Amino acid sequence: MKAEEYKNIILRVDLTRKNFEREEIDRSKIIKFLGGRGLGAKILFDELEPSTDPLSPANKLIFHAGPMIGTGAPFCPKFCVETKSPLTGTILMSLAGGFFGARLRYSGYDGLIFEGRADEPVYLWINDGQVEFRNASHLLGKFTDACQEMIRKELGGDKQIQIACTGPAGEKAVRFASIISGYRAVGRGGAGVVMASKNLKAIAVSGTRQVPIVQRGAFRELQTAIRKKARGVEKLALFGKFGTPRNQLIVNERGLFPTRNYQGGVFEEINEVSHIKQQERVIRKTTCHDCPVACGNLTKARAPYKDFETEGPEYETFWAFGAQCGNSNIDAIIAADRLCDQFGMDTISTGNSIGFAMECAERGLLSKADLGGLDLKFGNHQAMVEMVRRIGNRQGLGDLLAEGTRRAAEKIGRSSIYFAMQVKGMEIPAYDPRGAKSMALTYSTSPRGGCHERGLISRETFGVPPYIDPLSTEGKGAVAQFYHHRTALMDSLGVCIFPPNNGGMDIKELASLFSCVVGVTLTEQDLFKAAERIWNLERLFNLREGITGKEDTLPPRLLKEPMPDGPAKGHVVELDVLLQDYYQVCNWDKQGVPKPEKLKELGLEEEGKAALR
Amino acid sequence: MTVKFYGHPSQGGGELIEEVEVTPETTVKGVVDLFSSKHQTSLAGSSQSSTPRNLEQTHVVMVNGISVEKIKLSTSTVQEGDKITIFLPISGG
Repeated sequence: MKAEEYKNIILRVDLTRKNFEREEIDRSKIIKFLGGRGLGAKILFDELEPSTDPLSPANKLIFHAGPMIGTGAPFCPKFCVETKSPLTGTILMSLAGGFFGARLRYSGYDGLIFEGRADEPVYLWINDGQVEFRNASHLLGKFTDACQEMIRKELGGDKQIQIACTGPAGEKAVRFASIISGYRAVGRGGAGVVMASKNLKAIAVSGTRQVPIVQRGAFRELQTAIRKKARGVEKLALFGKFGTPRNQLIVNERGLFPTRNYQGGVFEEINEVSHIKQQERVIRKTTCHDCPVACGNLTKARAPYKDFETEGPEYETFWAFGAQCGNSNIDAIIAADRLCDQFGMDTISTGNSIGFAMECAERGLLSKADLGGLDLKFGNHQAMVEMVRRIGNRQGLGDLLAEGTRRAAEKIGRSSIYFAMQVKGMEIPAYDPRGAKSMALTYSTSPRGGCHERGLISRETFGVPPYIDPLSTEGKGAVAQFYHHRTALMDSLGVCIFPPNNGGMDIKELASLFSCVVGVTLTEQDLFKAAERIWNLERLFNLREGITGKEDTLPPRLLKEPMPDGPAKGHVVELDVLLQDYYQVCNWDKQGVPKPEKLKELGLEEEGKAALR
Repeated sequence: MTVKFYGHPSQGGGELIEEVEVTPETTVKGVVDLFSSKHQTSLAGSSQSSTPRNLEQTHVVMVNGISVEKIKLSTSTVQEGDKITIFLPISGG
């Protein structure tokens, strides 16, 4: 029997001219950049002119489903959207699970590159290789759930059709607008507003193409063995039962659960919003494509929010509308989560921004007139939920917060920037780095701005063995770098980070699976080298945009204001020490620029020349 | 003297399970060993695990809300009224 050939097919779509062409990505490029996040970074670096306005037709919007997605390998649902962020001006890579990524590959394409801007709202329908532009004028203003339902219905109602769409927040240019597929969100950094700026309302995909696996027999044996092993892993069973919200209690107990806009690290009402309370409201379990863990929970709120049900909320969302806003009403959190998904907005940035506004209001930096009749104080869940609506509609103060906290603080003025908990313009999430020092490195050096997902350091945040002292700065550069690279390789291949981080699959097994897919033997070290290449390329992208090491920083509160409570009491972040250690480990200079020998080692000399001239 | 052993709420519980009588020289490891021999299943994190084993290798032990480094389990002694919890740490957030 003839061996299968490995092919990675991209559909390049010119929205301005409403035409498209099929392109094949060379296998060597997949081995070098893996796919998903890594391949997206390479395409964006090569094709995007520096200083491009993120909301102009010249920006590109790249969807790519990594080479493991849809193969039958467990834990591999994560497709990546890559663009230049309108929130941060950095490179943006944002991932979502669910079913869209696998269905995109079954439709005949591994990735999509959108260019230009359509002259009227459109959605793209891809079915078994066939591509069609369809008018989307009737979908404008619709919530994302209604939009998906309408599209599916007009395409015949097949439940196998997967749809990714923007919502009203994208149309109104909320800078942290997301793309929603099912209940899953391409959440952070504003990919949704880039999509809306192109007059691209949605993408619908369906199909039955078999995805390429060069050594199919060996692959099947291996993935069956991994699934069998995963069934006996106690941590995965516990993770599957409660999902991410379980860690609220643990992070709070460890004293790094940001409370009331990072004024403290311990939320005294945590038990009111814990996963145990959530379990009382769970209707059923949910899952992503081909994942035996099924960590999702469909949750229904109770009065006065009983009309809302949502998949989740996840840990970060519980925090964003819980401790961050000083709110202990769990049903309000469920409602706020659902509203964000319906409008198409990132929950972390939305909740963080509302907490910022609450603190500004309490400190007299926002007037009664600014608040538009809302009693916006910590703990007022009605005001919080209403504020979500106002951001989604860009109404009153919501119009200001829709710009993100950095821009909002610039407009509010006075000392408000001190209370904007953001890095490079992206609102930071639910771990206070004063109590977890290597998380300070993730926040400050993450290529898309202040996020945890480019390197969630579980040893510090949750106490995953082997033990490290979360309050020490010693050796944290190497710890952070390991997680940054490990995450980059999983993001690029399409793997959800949680099952591997909990013993479901190790990187050696992942390397073996990937080797079978592309037909070339690759080791764990090869994957880590590719990950390092990706991390450095993303760094070069930002340097080319003029975003230098000076912006590897944290909100001043975390550098100056000692943690007032909990196990990290008295601590601030010693960022300079941490950064110099990290730069050294990365073989970057003291300004955070990759050294020529590092770029040579990674095969990025040309990119280095382009970025650093 | 007594120390208090709590089931960690992250496992689905959170209430006081037992007050344990110990001598002033008892180490944290000593308390965990004593306790885990009696409450293996509830501490393990899932009902699938009932086989006795060394929980401190996989779990985090906290005394009064502060994690105890593995190496210090055998050297740190407990104090009257200490609140001890133990949980299986999982990555996910």
